[in-house]
Amino acid sequence: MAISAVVVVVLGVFLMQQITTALLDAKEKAATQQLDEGLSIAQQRLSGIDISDHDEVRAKLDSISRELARRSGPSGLYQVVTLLDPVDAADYEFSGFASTDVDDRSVPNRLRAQVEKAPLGTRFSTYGRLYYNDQAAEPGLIVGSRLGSRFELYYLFPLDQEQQTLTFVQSTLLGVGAALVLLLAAIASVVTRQVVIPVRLAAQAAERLAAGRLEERMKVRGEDDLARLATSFNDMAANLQEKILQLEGLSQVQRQFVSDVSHELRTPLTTVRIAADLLYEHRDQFEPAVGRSAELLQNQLERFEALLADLLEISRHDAGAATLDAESVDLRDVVLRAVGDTEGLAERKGSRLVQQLPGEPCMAEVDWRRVERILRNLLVNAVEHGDGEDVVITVAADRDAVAIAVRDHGVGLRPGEAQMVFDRFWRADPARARTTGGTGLGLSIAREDAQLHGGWLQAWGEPGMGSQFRLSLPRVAGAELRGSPLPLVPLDDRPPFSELEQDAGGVR
Amino acid sequence: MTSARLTSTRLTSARRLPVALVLCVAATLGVAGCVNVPTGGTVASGRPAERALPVDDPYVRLIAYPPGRDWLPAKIVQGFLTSSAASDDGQAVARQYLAPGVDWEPGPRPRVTVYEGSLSIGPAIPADASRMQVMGTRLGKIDPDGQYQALGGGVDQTFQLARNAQGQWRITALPDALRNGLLLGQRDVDRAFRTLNLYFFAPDRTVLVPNPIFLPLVNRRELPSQLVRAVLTGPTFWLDGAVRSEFPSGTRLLGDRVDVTEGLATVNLSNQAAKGSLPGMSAQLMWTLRQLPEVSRMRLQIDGETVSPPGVSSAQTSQDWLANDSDTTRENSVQPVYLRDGSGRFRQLSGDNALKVGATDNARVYHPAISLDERKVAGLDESGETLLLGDIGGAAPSAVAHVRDSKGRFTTPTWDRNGTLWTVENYGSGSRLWLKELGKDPVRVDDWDLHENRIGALRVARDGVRVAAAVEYQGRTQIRIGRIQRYPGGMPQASLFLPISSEVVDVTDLAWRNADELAVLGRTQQQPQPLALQVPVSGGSIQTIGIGGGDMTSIAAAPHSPVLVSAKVTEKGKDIEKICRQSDVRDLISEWQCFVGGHDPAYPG
Repeated sequence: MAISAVVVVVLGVFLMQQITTALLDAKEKAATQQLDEGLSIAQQRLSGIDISDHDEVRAKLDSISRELARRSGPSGLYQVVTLLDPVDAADYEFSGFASTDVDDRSVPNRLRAQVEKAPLGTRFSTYGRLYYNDQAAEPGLIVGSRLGSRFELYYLFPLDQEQQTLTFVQSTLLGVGAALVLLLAAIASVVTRQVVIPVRLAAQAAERLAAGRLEERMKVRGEDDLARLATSFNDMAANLQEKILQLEGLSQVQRQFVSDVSHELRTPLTTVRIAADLLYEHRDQFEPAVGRSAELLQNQLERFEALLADLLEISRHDAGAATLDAESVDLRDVVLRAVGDTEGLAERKGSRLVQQLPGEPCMAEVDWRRVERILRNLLVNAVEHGDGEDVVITVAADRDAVAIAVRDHGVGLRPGEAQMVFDRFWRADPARARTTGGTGLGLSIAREDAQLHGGWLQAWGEPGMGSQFRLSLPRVAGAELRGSPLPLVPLDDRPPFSELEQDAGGVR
Repeated sequence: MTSARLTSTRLTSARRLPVALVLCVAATLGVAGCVNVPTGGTVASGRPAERALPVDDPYVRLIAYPPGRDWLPAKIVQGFLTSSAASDDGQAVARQYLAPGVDWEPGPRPRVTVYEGSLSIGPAIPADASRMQVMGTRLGKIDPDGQYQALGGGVDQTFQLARNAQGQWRITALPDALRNGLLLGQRDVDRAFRTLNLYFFAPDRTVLVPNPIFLPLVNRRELPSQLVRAVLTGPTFWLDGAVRSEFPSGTRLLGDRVDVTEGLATVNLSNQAAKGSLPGMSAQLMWTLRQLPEVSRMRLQIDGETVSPPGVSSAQTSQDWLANDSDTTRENSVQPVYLRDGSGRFRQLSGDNALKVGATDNARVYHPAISLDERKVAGLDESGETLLLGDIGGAAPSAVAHVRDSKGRFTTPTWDRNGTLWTVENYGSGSRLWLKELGKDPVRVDDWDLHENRIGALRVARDGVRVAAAVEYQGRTQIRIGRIQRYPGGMPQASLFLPISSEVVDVTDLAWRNADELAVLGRTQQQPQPLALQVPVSGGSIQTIGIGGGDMTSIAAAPHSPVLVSAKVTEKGKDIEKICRQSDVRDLISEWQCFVGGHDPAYPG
């Protein structure tokens, strides 16, 4: 709107200037021709005049002025002023003649100065104000030339007609301009309605679609480009919705399949187990090679059972069926129980389980069974990868959270593996046979359990330096966890005072 | 596939391009057509141009020059006289030539002495520069009331001068004649004055009589106010007593000026006017103002209250007061023409034929004059020594008067609107007036105003107040207009005959064409050939009537009727007298058509 107004104003001003120039040029041309005619008449009359006879000069100039003024007609097309130059005026005791009521002030001095200096026959013109004895001054065009050696002839053209025309044109232009601006505004509003609003609606629809409302569709109106855009958008949304529903269905089927398989495997497994137990109990009665097989069968069955249990557990997590059965417990007790469960394995591996427990109780609202399972997983993992070194269990608490860190001094983790350890069936070395207990799902389940609490389970490790897993849990079930009371990276390799330095310097 | 689509697109655009071009060109031409000046179309008609009035002539004024340094006394006096002709700036420049304290108030209506040619200025006493004498030929004077009078004689005025503190000469005392007046050349008067009529009622209050006055041009917008003030002041001394003004004495124009907007002039009079006759005042004002082309209607106010005469709307037009026109006696129809046929018998003209009028079949009436009511005819016998009078359609006219002097001869008789018959008996170098009032015996007036002059012709105007005479004066015959005064119970008196034009010389006959113009047979100073001329009573420019014609002997004219002359034309080798009229009545210079033989054509009056 503002821009169109500016354009209209600029155009209007330009147009006005053009019209004014054309009008005034035409007037000036006509004025000069009138002056030429007047000059020729006057010169004819002045020929043979006795310039020493003052009365004759006055009479002659009088009659010339009268005749030229009469040619202007009753409408007063122009005024005529004949003037004597100042020296002659003093000589003849009068300044000249002026037609009708025009004042001789109307001939500006700047024009007189030019005319007086100029050679005979040069015509000058200028714009000025015409003064009258009986009415207000008005703009006018003044043309003048020298007449003979002593006189000056001026024609004064009032420009009131031109002024009227220009005023009329100007008011017309103003009206047209205003109408044009309004029209442009109307067109702009129509265009906005037609284009901008549909585009905005499309953007909103796309945003809602992106936010997950897959049923969102655009309205299709007409047959223009916008309608095509809406159709394409709707097609895309429909395809997207279809594919996503398909994938959801597929994953649902898969999860169901895993769960069903696990359940279905249980019954035959129980039967196999009973048979295997029987064989195991009587292994002494078999040949040593067969007894050995019975032991192996027993071992692998246990692993199979564990694997099935883990599969069921993780499918429960996947299905969102896992529930938190939170109650306030002292985590030290949980740790102690988990350590007690793992001590046997540690002894076999030659590892020592070192506990660093705080003196006061570490109370937290947790599902202690899940926490205990996490800890067992971590401890077994640490013992298995501990290369017979000590495994350190640290428990700490602050106002909002509790943390349990399990530190081993085994082979450690390569860069990037700290994340991958939680993947299902992930192995640090795929070539290595899975000899010891783990099913490959333990850490995955542990992490699912930790997340079920709203807590974190994170791993750190460096090759040759061992690794540390840290479990951080909020003290109150459902509260958001902001930080952990224990560092993820262990501090145990350094002298006791280095902790202070690290705290003070903030540099590791 | 792609290439095929491209081709089709190109084809489409190639097909579209000429269409767009054609549309563009058509639009441009259309717009250009709107802008162009039309070169065809219907013929538009306009109203006929109204008579251009001398009032409307663009006028020229002198730009005065103030006194220069070290000007000599003669130049100071010359400068003063020249600058005083520039009347429109209140003589501000001319005052600079005067020493402080010199009383000089020409005022808006100055007393003007008009001189002819140029003035000579010189010391009154040789070697005394302080007294400058101005000498010249006097032509006439204009009184403050605007009346012009031709006056012969010389101009001889003496100016007193003295040096002021700066050593510059200034006029310290003006001659008595210039104390509240101006000394202007003929050309200055021509330039700075306009002749306009004031209208007053004839004594019977029926018709209006123009009273021409000279008004100084202050500026065009002041003119209506100047006119109204002048008409309120009353007639000039020339018509004073012969006409009546309907304005009660003391009536003034209220407000700064007469407001004229879109043709409507609003005249606001002071409350003295309440005692006057509304129709009379309105008619006088309307007739006076209608001379100005910018006034077409008038609203009369008394003390700010708009008043209107009965039967007339508040915006009066000159049409409302046509009844007061002395030219509308016969409702604008062409007037009947009477004449003397080739054998001297009295005839009336019907179409192109001369018909008998009643029993006056064989009556020989020379120089017939018909009364305005067309009942009576007066005339002379062949010698011009006897005045005849009779009824039209009745018996032959009988003699009512005989010349007193043995060498006396009557001029063509003339009737006024009261039924009085006028004629002049010329004898020797003088004349005497004969009057015959209705129902009374003819009366001789020996000592009338023009008794020292011979009179070529005498015609009373249709208003009955003015009388035109061709007066022999200093070897020439000039036109003079006099006024007729009537006293209760007394005889009408014709007096104050003033010359109206110095251009016409050797007038042989004249007739009133209308209230403002005379048809005259005479010569102008430029034209030695006697011609029929139209002479405005106001002293405006003279125009020739008709082309051709022969040696004209008499002229007749009447309002709304063609001018008739009798002229000697050569036909078949013989000179015969014929009556001629113009081939086109509206065209003043159309050819004379001589259509019937006869002498002395006459309209009533």
